[in-house]
Amino acid sequence: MKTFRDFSLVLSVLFLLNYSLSYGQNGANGPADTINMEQVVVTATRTDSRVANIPMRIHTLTSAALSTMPAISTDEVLKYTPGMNINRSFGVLSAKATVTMRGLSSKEQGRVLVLMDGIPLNKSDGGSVDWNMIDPYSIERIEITKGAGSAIYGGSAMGGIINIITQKPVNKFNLNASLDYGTYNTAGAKVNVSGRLSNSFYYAVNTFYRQSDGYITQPESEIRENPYIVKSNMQEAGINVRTGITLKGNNNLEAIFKYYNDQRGTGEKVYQPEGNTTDHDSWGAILNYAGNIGELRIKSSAYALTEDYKKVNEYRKDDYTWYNVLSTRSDYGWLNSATYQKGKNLLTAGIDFKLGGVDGEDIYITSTDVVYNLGKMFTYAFFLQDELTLTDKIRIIAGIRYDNATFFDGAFYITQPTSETDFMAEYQVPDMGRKNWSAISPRLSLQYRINENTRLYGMVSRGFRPSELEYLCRSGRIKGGFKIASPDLKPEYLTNFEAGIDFVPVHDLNVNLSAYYSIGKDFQYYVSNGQVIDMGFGERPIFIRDNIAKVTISGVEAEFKYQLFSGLQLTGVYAWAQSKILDYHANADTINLTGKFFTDVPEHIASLGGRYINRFVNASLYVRYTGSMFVNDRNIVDEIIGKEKYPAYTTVDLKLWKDVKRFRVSLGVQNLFDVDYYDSKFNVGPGRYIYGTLEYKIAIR
Amino acid sequence: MKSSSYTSTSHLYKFVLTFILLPLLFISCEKDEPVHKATLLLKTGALYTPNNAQVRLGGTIRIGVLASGSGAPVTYLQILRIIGNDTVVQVDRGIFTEEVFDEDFTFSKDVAPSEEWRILVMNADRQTAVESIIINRAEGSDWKPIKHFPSLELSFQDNPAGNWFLDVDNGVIYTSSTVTAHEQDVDVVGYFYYTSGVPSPSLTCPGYTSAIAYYPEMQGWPVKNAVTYDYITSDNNLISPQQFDEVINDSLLVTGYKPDKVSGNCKFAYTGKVIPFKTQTGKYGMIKVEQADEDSAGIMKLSIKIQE
Repeated sequence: MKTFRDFSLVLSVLFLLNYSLSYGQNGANGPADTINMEQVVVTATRTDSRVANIPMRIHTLTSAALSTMPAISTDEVLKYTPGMNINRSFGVLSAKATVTMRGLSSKEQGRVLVLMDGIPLNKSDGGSVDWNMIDPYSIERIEITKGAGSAIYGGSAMGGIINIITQKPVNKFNLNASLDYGTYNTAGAKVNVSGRLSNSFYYAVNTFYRQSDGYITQPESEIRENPYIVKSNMQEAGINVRTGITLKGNNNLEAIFKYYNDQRGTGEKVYQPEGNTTDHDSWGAILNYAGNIGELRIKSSAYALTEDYKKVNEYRKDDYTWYNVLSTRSDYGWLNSATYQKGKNLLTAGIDFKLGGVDGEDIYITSTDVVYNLGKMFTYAFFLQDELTLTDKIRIIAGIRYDNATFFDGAFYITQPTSETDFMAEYQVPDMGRKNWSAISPRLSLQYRINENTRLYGMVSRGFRPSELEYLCRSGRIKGGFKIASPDLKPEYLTNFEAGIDFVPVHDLNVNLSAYYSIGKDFQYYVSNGQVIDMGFGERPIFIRDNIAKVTISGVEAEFKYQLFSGLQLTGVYAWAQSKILDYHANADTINLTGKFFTDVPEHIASLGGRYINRFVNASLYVRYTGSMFVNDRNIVDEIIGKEKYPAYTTVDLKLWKDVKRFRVSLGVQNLFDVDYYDSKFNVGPGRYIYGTLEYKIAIR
Repeated sequence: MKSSSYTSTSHLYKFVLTFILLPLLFISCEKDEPVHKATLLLKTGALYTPNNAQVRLGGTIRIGVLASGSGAPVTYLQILRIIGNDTVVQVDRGIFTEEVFDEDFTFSKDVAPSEEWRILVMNADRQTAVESIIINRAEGSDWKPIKHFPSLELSFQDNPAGNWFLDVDNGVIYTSSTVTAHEQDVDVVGYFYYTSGVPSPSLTCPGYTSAIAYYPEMQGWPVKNAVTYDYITSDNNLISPQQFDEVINDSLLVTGYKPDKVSGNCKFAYTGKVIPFKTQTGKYGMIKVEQADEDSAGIMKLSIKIQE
């Protein structure tokens, strides 16, 4: 069992940071990592399975680990895990963040499925996830499953799965409150209250608020051209309510309600009181059932997630332009699975439904135009999986899923057009018709345990993904150009081959290695079509979402964890990825991209860090290297940065903390040496960010 | 002691109640904002062209616009010239005026026997008001004489000679030191940059926001004139340099200017191009680009014809 414990440490890059959060009970500086190979995870197979039994690469981060990381938002805690490609342009001020992995672009969230307690958070509209809604304090653990997960979750999981499991109340009463303050006059407060009124009824309320004066996020070149630039500020608030009841027969019924609102300045102000802003008004309601019917273990979840997005755009070029983007993005779903143990076989079958929609308008106030983009996607799917324990050493998981997706009610059109939108009039498609796709996504994985210290695994899987609605039915301005809706965009397919090994070369040193090779067919990718368009302020390139006939994504990942001595743990990760276009059937009007590399994919990512627990002041320190990555699809020199690649950069993050009875005082510094770097959108990062937190916690058992 | 079924029912009740009531707590009652009506008046009097006026070919049409958002800012002005089924957008401008919008516009009479001029304003509540006048063509023509300024050498932003600021009305070029007290006379500046890797010598005006990136001193000017360049005619070479050279009155200057829906304060200006324009004061003109260097320290050599 000791070996399995070691394996568990290897499988989770930040296990080394774990320690108990139960102040005053277990000791705030407790040394133990709390997850091992016996840890039950729920993501990889949609069953409750031990990590040791899953022939895949899985990383798990516990709440205890998260609390020691120099990270503020949930997505940031993932950046010390191998192969994770994170984009959060403005730090705590960012309206949007993306987390992808294994050679996939950091500009798109759509190929990595993000779940919260099993409910998909990726919007059908653009695939994005509102990471700001997720308070790290509410998290029990995060499960990261690498490789295509489409055989069990469908298209969005073709590049991997991140499942955020929130805390389920176990104590009679829990209170956790905190205040934080940081650079740019950023201040926040959080309160978590949870408890059990009896053995059967439980509740949890998690609220948070934060505001910041912000900073100027535009590069110097833009500041010179625009006298209306101001700081990008923000304020946000959210509440999550969870209540549940455990009935007889291990049946559990649970309801979750979420609300989140933010308003963020985007750095320009002409006449409007707040200038250019984005505003998210998000609601979610989830109903979960888990229980036993005879020998069947049933799980069923219904959910409704909606986001009312409002963006105020104003600028002054030739004349004054002001328009508001109002977009309602909704996702409704019903997920069902049934599991049955039959001898050495754990059989799971399920059926999923999902309806996603977008109803968007760009309402111009300084002209009569209204631009509409609409669309819906309905998906239903069946899946079947067998987890077979062949021998003590050999375990096989085989799965297959059938997905059927229908795109309908798609439209892009303009009413009462003027010169503001005249340039896009030719791209109107008032009726995009009805399109239907279906595919089978299989997965086969095998694990062989050589000895107590060594495990080998291999996996073959295939993923299928129809486009998000954003790309099918919206034309419009994007940063640096103009994009055209592509209602005829075909689904993409990704076939993934993967192998890995976990081993313990010397005592207290855990190592794991993975290698993968993926072949993408009809891969969806933004390409410039070689044409330009004048949107009223000079010519800009036109981008289309197109299917690339063949791409390959290959890479290796390595991770080690070493317990140097009691209290000091070191961890290191390295990932190499190369994503290449092998065959692009360029149309006459487009540019041939065959042989080019993907944009926004660092070839190398590495981090080295550690945590030192002692009786004075605890500390964690991470150094992260992000390699260079191509700027544009043609891999040519970009005018703004003067190179074909964004330069590589290295940042250092630090956290110090001290626990005193029920209080914790902590000081964090992100980007300690204030390194300037371009992210994938030419944005100016927040630089060195210092924050302090005071926490208070009560637990009554 | 309560029975377990009672307990379960009780908890189920709490559970359902919590789930239903909590969302309701967050549903706020939004107060309906009043919708403000837009109003529009066309000025009358000897200075302005009245409804059903008779105007000779090339004669001046003067329209005075008085608009109010009645509590909401006035945000949009559109002036259309409608001749039968043919509509030409003469003015299409986003604005933000919390007071009364008051501005005069001048145009020249076209060859059409009769044309409708339709003026539309909109306020921030997207409420519109529309007025129209009909203008008929009178006998004879009223083409006016023009001024010609050949071979004006305008410096780009990095040119040490600093001949940056052009008064097209008088054909005078100012430097940083000589422009003081003449800021209100400057209509045109030139600059050079790259667009998508393509060298792009360009013409713009002090009223174009991004022009301050090249001439930061314009930021503090009390008056920043805006010139509108005709993209369609220049991009499609609708007027040749030879036609430009033959111009002896403002006929071609007026009829050659096609604002349509695509025109703006900034225009690529390559050697050999002829670019119609209209100044902030309403004068029509035309620029022939005799030379445009592809260097930010270079020059543009321009020949300009403009209404007197």
